[in-house]
Amino acid sequence: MVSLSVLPANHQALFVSCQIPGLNAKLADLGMIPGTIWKIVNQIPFSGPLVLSNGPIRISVRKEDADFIFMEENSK
Amino acid sequence: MAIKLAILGNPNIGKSTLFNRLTGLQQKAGNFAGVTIEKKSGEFSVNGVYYELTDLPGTYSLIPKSPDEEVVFNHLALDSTQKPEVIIVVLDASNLERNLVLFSQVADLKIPSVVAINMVDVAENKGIKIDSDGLSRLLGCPVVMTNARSGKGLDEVKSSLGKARVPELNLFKPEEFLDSPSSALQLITFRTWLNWVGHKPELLDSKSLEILKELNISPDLAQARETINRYRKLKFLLKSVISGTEARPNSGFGFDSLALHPIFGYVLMLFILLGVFEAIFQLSNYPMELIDGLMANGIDFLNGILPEGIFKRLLIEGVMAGIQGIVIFVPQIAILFFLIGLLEESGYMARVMILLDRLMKKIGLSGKAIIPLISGVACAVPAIMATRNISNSRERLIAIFITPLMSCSARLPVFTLLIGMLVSDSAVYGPFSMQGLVLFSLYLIGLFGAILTAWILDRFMPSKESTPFILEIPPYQKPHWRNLWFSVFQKSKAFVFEAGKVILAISILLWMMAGFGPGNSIENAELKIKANQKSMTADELNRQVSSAKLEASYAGIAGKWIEPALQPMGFDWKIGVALITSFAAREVFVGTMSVLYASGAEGETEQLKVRMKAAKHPDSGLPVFNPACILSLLIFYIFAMQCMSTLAVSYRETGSWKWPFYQLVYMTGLAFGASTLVFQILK
Repeated sequence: MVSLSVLPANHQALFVSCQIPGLNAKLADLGMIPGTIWKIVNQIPFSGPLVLSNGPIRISVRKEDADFIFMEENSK
Repeated sequence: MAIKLAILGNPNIGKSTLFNRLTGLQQKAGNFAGVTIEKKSGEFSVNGVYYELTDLPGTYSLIPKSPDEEVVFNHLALDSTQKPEVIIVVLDASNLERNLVLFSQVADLKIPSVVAINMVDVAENKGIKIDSDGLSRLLGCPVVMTNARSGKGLDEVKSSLGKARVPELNLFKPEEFLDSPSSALQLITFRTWLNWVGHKPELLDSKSLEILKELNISPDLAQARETINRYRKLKFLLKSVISGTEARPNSGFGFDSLALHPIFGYVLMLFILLGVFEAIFQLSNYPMELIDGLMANGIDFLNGILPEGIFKRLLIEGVMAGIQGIVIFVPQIAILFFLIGLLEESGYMARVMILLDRLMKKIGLSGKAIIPLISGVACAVPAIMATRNISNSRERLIAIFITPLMSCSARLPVFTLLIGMLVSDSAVYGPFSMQGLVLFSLYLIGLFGAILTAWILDRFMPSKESTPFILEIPPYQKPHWRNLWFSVFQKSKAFVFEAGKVILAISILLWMMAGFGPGNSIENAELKIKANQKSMTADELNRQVSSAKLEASYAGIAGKWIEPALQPMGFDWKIGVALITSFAAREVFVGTMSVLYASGAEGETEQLKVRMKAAKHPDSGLPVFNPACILSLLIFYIFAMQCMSTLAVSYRETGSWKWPFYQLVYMTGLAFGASTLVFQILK
């Protein structure tokens, strides 16, 4: 399990969990459900937000929040 | 009695388009800047049955996470007087799983529903096939395939309203997703649950509250588990009615490789934002001249046909001057709202939020504050309402506080008039006109003031924990011209009738104040000048008389009374009168100046500029509007809170007079300080 913020661009990984109180429900609302595969599309320079995609859904999270979002590298 | 309908769905899936299609222009409230922030309503009828339809802000869940989502929560609450009798749930055909989570919550509220699966064309292009009959059986309510953009399926939506049914889908099983003895949890209804996770425990009965408290789980985690549970069940159920979702090509995001590029993304953003700014002035030039000319013609016409007398003067110098001050704005406001709407509808605004989030964080804000700040260039009122998408209350307060510092369109006529007196319109600097450059720097000063204020607030406001910034990025879309036209029309209409009433009333009041004085002071002033006249020309005499009359009027007395406070800024009593009258709305400044400089009869701004330039201090004989005074006045209008509507909306959005009061004191203080500084250095 790794932190979302360390994954390089164009990498894919499974969402596992989020350790930020208050963010879990919002992530679920947006479709970030444990077990879904997310691709890191982009990283805005100077430690700006990350852009992630899963099928038709594209979301953006801050890098410091991504430190506490945990992913499993896709073994497939 | 009309049947109460509501339209509900995720953001950016064409809800408002469907709403516009159903209601036409029969809408009650304008929605601001593309997104539905405040719910709006409209009426239509199908075969003699009347429906009152409310468009609710886009939401992912019935459990609110920001003030705009709270609108939905409150609308559907049990005690809500507007509780809909039927709900149209709009779903994005390309993303049914997630969209159905919201539907399944509506189903658990047991409200009769109709499902409209929208953007069917986009989904078909992606190879997604939906069996609508199968889905209708699965959900237990009518399902209609629509393309709101083209109007396809609209008639079916209307005819299915009569067949709306309480959906049979029942996915709320707390005993499944909470590790707890199921017997107790079965007593919890979805509405009880909604009130608990939605932080409204006071609405719960003691038994339910006890059961839920014993779970020892945070509402955030509880909600997440509920959503995940719904999601997984829906994914399984959908297998039989939908196919082609596996491939799901990621369409509509191609432009992001440029728009979010580390270098070119920023270059493009700068280019687009400057382009918007430039377009407002370029495009509004012609219609504004046209309106100016038409108004002048109208005044000439009235001048010719009306008999002399007080009624004629009231009509021409009061009413017509007031109307002109209103309609002259419409082109700029319409164009500005159009362009901001275009940025939002196309999806580009979300990219700007992401690109600027880092910078905004430094002043205690997030990328989400970009919409209010950019909209603030049009008007602070909708801009402050647009802060409702900011879930963190501290961030939202900072955004509300600084938004009025962005130079809004009401400052524009003031700026235009004063710049015209300061810089010749023939002065150019490369491809830019000098006037344009001065104007641009005024906007930058306002922006700088806003940033500085946010930075100060961020340092001194008690800090709560920061709310994470998380945002869905919509795919790029061709703008819905119909939606844009609707919203521009609604907003221009709202401006003309809402702001217009105030401006017109003030113009008439001002005309009366400027035309009448205590006792027969005005007649005395006229006699005094005429008695002293020696070798004056008729023209000179007229000017002296009208100036003396004004000075003796109620307006003159009020201006004189505050003059000592204005002297450090280089303002005379006439400017003082204009500051008082434009306290309600900045644009009143120009109209007041026209009345005070008696150019109202001609009604043209060129005439006014000439007269203002000729104005001299009575004691020293020096021009009133020297460069130091003009610059000081410009600075004053950048910073001062001269807008009652803004104060009113701040009150409404913050829920107390405390914040609007701080805003008023702070901005007026800032304006006094900065103007005094400028005048004292330059004089």
